[in-house]
Amino acid sequence: MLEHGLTHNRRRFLSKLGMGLGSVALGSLLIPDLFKDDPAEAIMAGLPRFAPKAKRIIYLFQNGAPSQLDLFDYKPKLQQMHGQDLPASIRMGQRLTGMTSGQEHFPLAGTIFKFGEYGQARAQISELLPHTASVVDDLCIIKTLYTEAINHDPALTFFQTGAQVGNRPSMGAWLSYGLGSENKNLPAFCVLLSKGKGNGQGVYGKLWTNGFLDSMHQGVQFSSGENPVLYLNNPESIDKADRRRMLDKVAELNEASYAEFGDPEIKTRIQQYEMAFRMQTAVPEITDMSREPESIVKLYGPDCLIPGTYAANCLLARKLSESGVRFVQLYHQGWDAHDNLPGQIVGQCKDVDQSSAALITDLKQRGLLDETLVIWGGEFGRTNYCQGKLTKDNYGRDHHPRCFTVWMAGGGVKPGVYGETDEFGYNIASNPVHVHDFHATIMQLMGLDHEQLVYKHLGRRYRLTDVAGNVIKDLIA
Amino acid sequence: MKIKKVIAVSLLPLNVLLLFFLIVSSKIMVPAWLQVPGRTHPMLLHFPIVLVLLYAAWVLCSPRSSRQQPYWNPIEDSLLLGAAVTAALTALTGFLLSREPGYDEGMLSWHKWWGAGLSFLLYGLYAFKPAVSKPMGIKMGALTGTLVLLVAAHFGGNITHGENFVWAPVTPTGEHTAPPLEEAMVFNDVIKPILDSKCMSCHNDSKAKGELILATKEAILQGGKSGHLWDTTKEDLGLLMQRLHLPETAKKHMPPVGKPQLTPMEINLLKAWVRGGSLFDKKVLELPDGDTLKTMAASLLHSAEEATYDFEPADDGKIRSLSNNNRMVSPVAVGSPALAVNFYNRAFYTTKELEALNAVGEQIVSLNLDRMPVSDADLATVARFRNLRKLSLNFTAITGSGLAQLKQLGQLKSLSLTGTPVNADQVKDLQAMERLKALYLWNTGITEAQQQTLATSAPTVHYYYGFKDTAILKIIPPVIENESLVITDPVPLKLKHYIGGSEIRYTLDGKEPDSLHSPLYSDGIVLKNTVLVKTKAYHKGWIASEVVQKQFYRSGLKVDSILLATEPEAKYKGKGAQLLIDRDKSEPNFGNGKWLGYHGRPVIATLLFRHPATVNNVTISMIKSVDEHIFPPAAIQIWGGRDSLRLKLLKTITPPAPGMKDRSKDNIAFSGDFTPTPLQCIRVVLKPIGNIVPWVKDKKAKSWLFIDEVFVN
Repeated sequence: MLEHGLTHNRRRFLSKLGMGLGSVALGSLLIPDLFKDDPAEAIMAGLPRFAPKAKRIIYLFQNGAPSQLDLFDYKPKLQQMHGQDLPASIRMGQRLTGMTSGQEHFPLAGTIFKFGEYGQARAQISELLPHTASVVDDLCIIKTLYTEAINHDPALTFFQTGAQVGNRPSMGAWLSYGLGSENKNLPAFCVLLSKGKGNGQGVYGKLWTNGFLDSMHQGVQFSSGENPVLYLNNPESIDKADRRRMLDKVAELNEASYAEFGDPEIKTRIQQYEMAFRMQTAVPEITDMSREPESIVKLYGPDCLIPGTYAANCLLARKLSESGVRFVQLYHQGWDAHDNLPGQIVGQCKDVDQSSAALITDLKQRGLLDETLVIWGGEFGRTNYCQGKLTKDNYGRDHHPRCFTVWMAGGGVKPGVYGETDEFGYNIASNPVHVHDFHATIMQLMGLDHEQLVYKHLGRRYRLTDVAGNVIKDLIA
Repeated sequence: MKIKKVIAVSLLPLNVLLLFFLIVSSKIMVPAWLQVPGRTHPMLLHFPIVLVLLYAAWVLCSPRSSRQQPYWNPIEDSLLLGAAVTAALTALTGFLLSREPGYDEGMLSWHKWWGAGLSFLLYGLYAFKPAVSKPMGIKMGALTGTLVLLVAAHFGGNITHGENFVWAPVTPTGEHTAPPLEEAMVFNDVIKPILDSKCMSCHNDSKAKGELILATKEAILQGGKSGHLWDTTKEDLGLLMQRLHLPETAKKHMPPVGKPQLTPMEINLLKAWVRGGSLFDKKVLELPDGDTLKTMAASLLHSAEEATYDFEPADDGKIRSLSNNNRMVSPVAVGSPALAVNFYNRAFYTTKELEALNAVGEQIVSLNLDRMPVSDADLATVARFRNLRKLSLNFTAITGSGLAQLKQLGQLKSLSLTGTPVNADQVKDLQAMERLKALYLWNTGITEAQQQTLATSAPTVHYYYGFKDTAILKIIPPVIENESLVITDPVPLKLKHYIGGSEIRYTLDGKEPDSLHSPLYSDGIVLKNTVLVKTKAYHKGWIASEVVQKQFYRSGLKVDSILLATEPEAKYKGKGAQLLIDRDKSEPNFGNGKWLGYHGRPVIATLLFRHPATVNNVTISMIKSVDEHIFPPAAIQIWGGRDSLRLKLLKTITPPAPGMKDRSKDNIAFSGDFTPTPLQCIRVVLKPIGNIVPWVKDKKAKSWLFIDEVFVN
């Protein structure tokens, strides 16, 4: 009996038939691992390829791009040269956004915020992030990330999917595909959104798409209202038993149509119905914050009980993660300070500082930090020169892709400061980390080889890192 | 046939010559020109192999009937003759080649004697064939020839390709098992494995190409024909690095074309090693911090901290059958025998579910029972999982009295007990566990003084007590949940606070709430009239919250129609006059289309009722935002009467001008009370202030009035 896989796809059928046994021999020449363990099989098993350092990820995405120059990358030179033009020898023809390309001058803007040195690594952290500074010994601060995109949407998409154009699978989807779910009662990939008061940029569903992967790997958005997961509750007058009976019947019908057509999406659909049924119990338990001790409320800050705030999302992220959700993706909007940056960034930092640090403390005190990777950062950095009018204590900063700061904590990363930018904070002086390298390193921490986790689609094999990316071993403890 | 005869005749002298060479072998010096025929040996040797095998096949496998055929004998004869003469020539050339340096004597002499033996044997078979009449004899001869050939060829192959060349790709290599980083030696565990895998096949004791042997420290230091391997005084570090860095096509490039090449990482390691003084007897960790070699080596080797497991894997089917929606059992990585187990869903957990794991008890290295109702007695089951490294019992139902059982877990490194009532004595008892490195004790019954004693009594264990609840923070304000700001019928006041146990106090008279005089919020408070609700939260251990407030507007009478005598600015006219009587109170966001805006001009609105109504109050809702030039009016007049021609002034309000500090953007309401009067027409006149207050930027501009609703009661 031929598998459905062969019958429903003419091209695949013919190619299998045509090559037959010969393809095995030829294949073994072309694919050296043909007779070893099939990597695809291992992926089906949803297991890491080697012992992972991190089992789960919580990605605190600071959407809009926080200014590294006002938070982590202290450049006294900019304060000395405040108001002077950025030398062309430093800019080296960097492409500009439409927002500053008309500007005749690029006056350097030194930060107005004070910096202190913290922790064993003597990391420089702004006064805006006192809580972050207090957990600095757990942080791996990478000052030299760089990206290729210069506007929000492509940059964000690039960070999330490894490509600037849409429709590739998101990082969370790849990990769900590679590692599967730890807890079968919850999705492997969850998404939480929040909004600060600063200038915001859109966040769209394509960022947590499964792309060409099986739809079960798509990110599930939790919202702040009465129904954290939309359409999860039973409609009025349908109780759990009714629902169960309905699902059984629907599954029978689906099985029948699977037997007829053999489309694997039908199997996925059955599984998703079943998971949704189990989520009806699991989700209310997780989103119920009332059982959290008061000290937790103080740790994350009182906002953490107001649904939809960043603090509440951090707390929820911890609860989801400790319940085995592989990848929790947060987005906090409002970092896009093209003007009045000093004013906007204060509020943004207030939103995220305490609860981001709290998440680390909380995971650590539960013994979970060593197996949970926490990532904090935006889609690019901000310029060292002012956008718009520069005054002594007010400035705006445009998008800057050449260097910016991201920190990671837990999950087997090596605490410390990695990489240096030049004295203008414009170019990387040492140890650059491309977004692809960043992805490769994260996958390595999760026990996956970024070159092996592939999916064949439209005739070629795709990876999160596409055809690039090197694991930065110095970031791994 | 003449050629055949010549060859047959030449067989004897060839073998005699061979014998002679063998006897006096040690005395023979091979001149350069003779090395050339010697080097044809690797080519010639294929002929005797093929011919001997063909001959054997002909003799042993041809059917009996064919032996009687006329062609059988000539072919048999030719094959044997060919085999004999090529064997002799091969042996002779081989002998010449063997006099060249670079071969291991032991392996070589075995090959030499077996090769020569084959030549003699074949000559013998050919010479005495006429004397052997029985086919059995011939068959025996062919068989012996084949065997001798295989042995000789095997030794030859070993010399050229190294031992076990054929099977090496599928032989389990027993890969160099790297010791943990803590014990690793620079040479033995980092450098030597590279030499072993990439160089040793040509530079070993039995085959020392270029007279270079890389097997031992002494041999390496000795170097080869071209000299020492390195010279750190030179910029290119000497021979070894030169050869490695030559282009791959260069003749002297090492390893030679076709052999496995060094990876960039391996070249860098060798380079760093040579540059660092080619240390043989140092440990990796003894290298200075920041040393390139140390950094690279550290990334290659694994720390002893990293787990290696020596137990057998559990049965796959068993693992699968134990895994379900509430209990995940899975290997930690592909091919690892170690299992990680996580439990989910409190409702599912029973002691039985835990005991089921006994089937794979030996393989479990990590067990997470967080939030499960695990009892003290259950720990007896856990204690049987003797390879457990990490155990998490956060927020379980254990009391601590069963913890002593866990002392059987000799491998346990990390134990999480947060949110359980374990006490200091029970924890101290665990210090006896040798491997225990981390204890997570946040939210347990251990006091700070006890934390001190624990830390000093077992300094190798790291205790994590987590967040200390010492900060005093300001609590968040309550939330006023009533959405509609317009009260048409009495509605209950709805206040709530997200943090359980908070006190909510409120006022309805515009005063700031305080914890002494203001009432505590409870259900059953009803809003009937226009009112300003102010509320504030209090919580033990917290600073009182900010005040939040909401202005509610009573709209008792529905106005039937409205006329505007002055038109609003085109930009701020929303859906027109109707806006003022739609009973929809908006946020103070004047651009949202729900506000009428007037720039430097008065508002004159006439409200009409179809039937006379008794009115005693008119309330006007406006915006105040000084910095945007939005001011309260200078004066408000409320007129009323039967129709628009017979109006009389019912009330005049003179709102106070905002103070210098009052610069926030707010909703403001002006309420005019008068004696109840039956009316069918009301006219409201709002006069803007003449000049903007001098302390506002751009003070010569005209002021704005924004109005969104007129409530009539």
